[in-house]
Amino acid sequence: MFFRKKEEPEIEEELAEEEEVQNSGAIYIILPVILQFVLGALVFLRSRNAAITYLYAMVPMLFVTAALGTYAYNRGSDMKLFTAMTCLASMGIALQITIEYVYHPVGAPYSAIKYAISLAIAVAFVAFYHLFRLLLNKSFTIWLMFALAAAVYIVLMINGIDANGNGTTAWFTIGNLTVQLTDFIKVAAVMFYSALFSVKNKRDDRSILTISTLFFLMNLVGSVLIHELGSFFILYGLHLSVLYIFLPHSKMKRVYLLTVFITTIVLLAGAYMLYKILLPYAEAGTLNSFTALIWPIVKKVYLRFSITANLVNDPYGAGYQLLQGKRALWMSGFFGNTVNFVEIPVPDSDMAFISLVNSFGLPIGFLAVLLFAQILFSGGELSVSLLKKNRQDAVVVYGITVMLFAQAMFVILGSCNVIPLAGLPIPFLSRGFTYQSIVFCFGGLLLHLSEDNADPEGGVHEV
Amino acid sequence: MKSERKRDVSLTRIRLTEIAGCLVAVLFIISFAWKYLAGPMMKPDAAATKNAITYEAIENYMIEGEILDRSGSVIMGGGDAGVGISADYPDNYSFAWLLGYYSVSADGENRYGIRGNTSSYSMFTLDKNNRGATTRLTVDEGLQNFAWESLLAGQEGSVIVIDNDSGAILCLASQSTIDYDVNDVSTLLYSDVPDSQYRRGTFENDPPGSTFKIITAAAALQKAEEEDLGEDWFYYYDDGTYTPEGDDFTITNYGDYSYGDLDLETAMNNSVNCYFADLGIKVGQTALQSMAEQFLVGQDIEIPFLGTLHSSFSYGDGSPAYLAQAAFGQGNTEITPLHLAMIAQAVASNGEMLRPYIVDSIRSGKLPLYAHTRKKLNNCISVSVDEKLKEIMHSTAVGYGLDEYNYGYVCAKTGTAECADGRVHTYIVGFTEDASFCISMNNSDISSNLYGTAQELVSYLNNYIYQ
Repeated sequence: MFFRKKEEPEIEEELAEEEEVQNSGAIYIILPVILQFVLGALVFLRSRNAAITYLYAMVPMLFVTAALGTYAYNRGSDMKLFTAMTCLASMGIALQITIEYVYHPVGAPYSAIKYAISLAIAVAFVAFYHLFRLLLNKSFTIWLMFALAAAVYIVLMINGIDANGNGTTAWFTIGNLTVQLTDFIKVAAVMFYSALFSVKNKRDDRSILTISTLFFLMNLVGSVLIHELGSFFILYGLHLSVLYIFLPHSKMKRVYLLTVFITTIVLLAGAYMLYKILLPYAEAGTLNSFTALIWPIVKKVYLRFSITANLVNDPYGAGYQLLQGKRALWMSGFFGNTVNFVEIPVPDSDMAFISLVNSFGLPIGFLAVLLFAQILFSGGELSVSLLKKNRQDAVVVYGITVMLFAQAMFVILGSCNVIPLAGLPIPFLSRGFTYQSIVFCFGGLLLHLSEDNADPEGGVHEV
Repeated sequence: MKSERKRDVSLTRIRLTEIAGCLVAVLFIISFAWKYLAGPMMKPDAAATKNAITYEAIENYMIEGEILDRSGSVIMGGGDAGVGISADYPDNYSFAWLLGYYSVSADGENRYGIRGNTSSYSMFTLDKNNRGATTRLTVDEGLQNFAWESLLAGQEGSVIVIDNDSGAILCLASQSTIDYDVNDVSTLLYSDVPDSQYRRGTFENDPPGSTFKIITAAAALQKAEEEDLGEDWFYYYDDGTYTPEGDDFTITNYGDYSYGDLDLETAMNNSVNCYFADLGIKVGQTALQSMAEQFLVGQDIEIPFLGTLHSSFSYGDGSPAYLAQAAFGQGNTEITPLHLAMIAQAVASNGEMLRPYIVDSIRSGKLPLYAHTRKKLNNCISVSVDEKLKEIMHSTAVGYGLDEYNYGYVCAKTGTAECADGRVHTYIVGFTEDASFCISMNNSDISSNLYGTAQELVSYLNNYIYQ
């Protein structure tokens, strides 16, 4: 089942080579399958009802793993990347089922159908990617993406809702469906940068810097207006790293990157001072129209940093989420907590990593981090490989890779109180139909672009 | 050429990003694995922090697991969410020093005794109803209460009984200078007398007194066997004093008695210090030290969930005077009452010393979390030496009134230790065919006071435990 198609092997050496290839390929499909069984046992330890639901989910999971794995292998995709993403998706499903039965989250319930739809969307996206790919070479694409992102912010400012009750209006409802529109900005951003570096459009460095800065500032303003800083930090990282890597070395670039960095520091310090200045007015209810507009964001920035520095400052308020996370980390041990501890706020989304270790143990959490690192490594190598053929594809791959890894680590480190926490979902692990669909699309695209770039041992080779 | 150079720079930077990202991931894993996994296993401070944090998070819904005696009778139970388990009278006193407590304060975790040491199961391993695991002890509730109420009867000291076949501790009753009530931890603070707040049977390190003569006798019997020494070698004429050769230190017998012609058995029956001082010199430092080590004197002995027994054996400056004193149980030797009971158990079991244990099993519902496994600590003496030693100790026990007609087969030896701080600490160690025991009393004048206590204990064992 798990072997690469090969034309008429005639001599013994070729047969031996095929056997070797067959073995090395199968292991990348078998590993996720083994993990799915291990996760089943861990789910059983937490809840028998959850284990039964997981058992039902395992049937399609095993099928999809085998089918996609065989397809990816036969198409010469990067199998290590496949393993990493399949393992993470399996962890996400096991976790969300466990959360449903054990943690009783407030938001939308776990739905296997949503996973199936997300997967179908991803398959369709990859199948029609060549059409999107054509779009990236058009000169109007960057402005289209710019407009799309701006439109999202405007829609959210007018009709956005605060689904989690944390002051961020990043959601939009269509009938019964709640969509986190800011996730689409990330897709638009990847396409924007890819189009920006299109060889066919031949933009000089100055125009690339100017246009990308406009896009970056538009995102900053939009994020401030909808009080959503988490997504902006991901875009911030993407912006700087794409420019740092793909823009040719020049004094202008160096000055630009340095300026952005210093400005960031100044803005953060400014937010801290503004908080101290505005606090008495806010408490007295005497903020004017402008200060009332910036107060929520100033307060949010201040609280994120001050609470990270000292959780016990506000243990039952702003620090509660992280304090519970810290408790869960202590209790997690090798196989998850043994004291039925479930008091983790937002266990299905922002705190998904904490829920993961609290449910299945720290080693599973560490494995998840390693798998994200594998995605970064495979994606990076794929980008390196594609850079020799097409810079635009390299930017797409790099953008997606950074988006997945950076968001994962940003939220994981935040939920573990290493850096300020931002309320974002973790790729593959968190619940959320919109983001899950995008992550599956991103993952599928990475695998698709790695086709015929993979070496027989599962990694990517240079062409 | 120029475009290739640009590409190479980009390649390098992408790889730099990969390295930076992987470095962050690896550093995260290493630091968190150290802090949250390895730390609590390797560092007591980290384990205490983990437990304190966990306890604070669960104290409102956790139901502490029950503690049962060997037959399943509840010693401490009745816990509920936010309400700790408790014991009925007299268990709340008789088991208090054994069970101890577990609490968390602003200073961190406080733990003591079985309740503290099994907290990882009874409080931190909860079933679906948030109930902690049940701990079944080896202790017999009736025997423990009898020892505390009738044998100790308010006197400072301890009573220990070990099953000869398994090493199970059937009784570990202690009484300190305060009446510790296990339902009320604050009772531990009712006394400011030094060393009030520890369990007598396992933490009290005092000279063994004449009970050490068992080890000296074993060493002599072994030497005689190895070197084919005859009965004459054991002969000694006692004039009531003994001065080691080359020394001016004079040893006397209890009450300044003199016994004339003595062999090993009569010397043991009368606990003649001068005889054993001379025997110790004849046996020699190496053989005596070796025998003490065979009985694990000087080594730490770990008893699961109870603690570590410490003891020491020293000859001071190595002079004959110190060796002579060590041979009859004075000098620098220190040992706990439980260890003395273990020595008796080894003699009772043909020289095989077993690891004593007090927690038989821990279960969460039907799920076993811990089960005791029998472990031999050492083969202390050969069977032939053991037979001779038993014979001597049996006649000694008969001399204490533990005659075979009324009490069955009993072996015993008393001891009176003169402690450095002026206290006199008395012991009687011994064994029946089924169980070994050590009764120790602090601040007692003379070990013969314990004859009656030992008789009561052996009667209880014969009539209620091994009837």
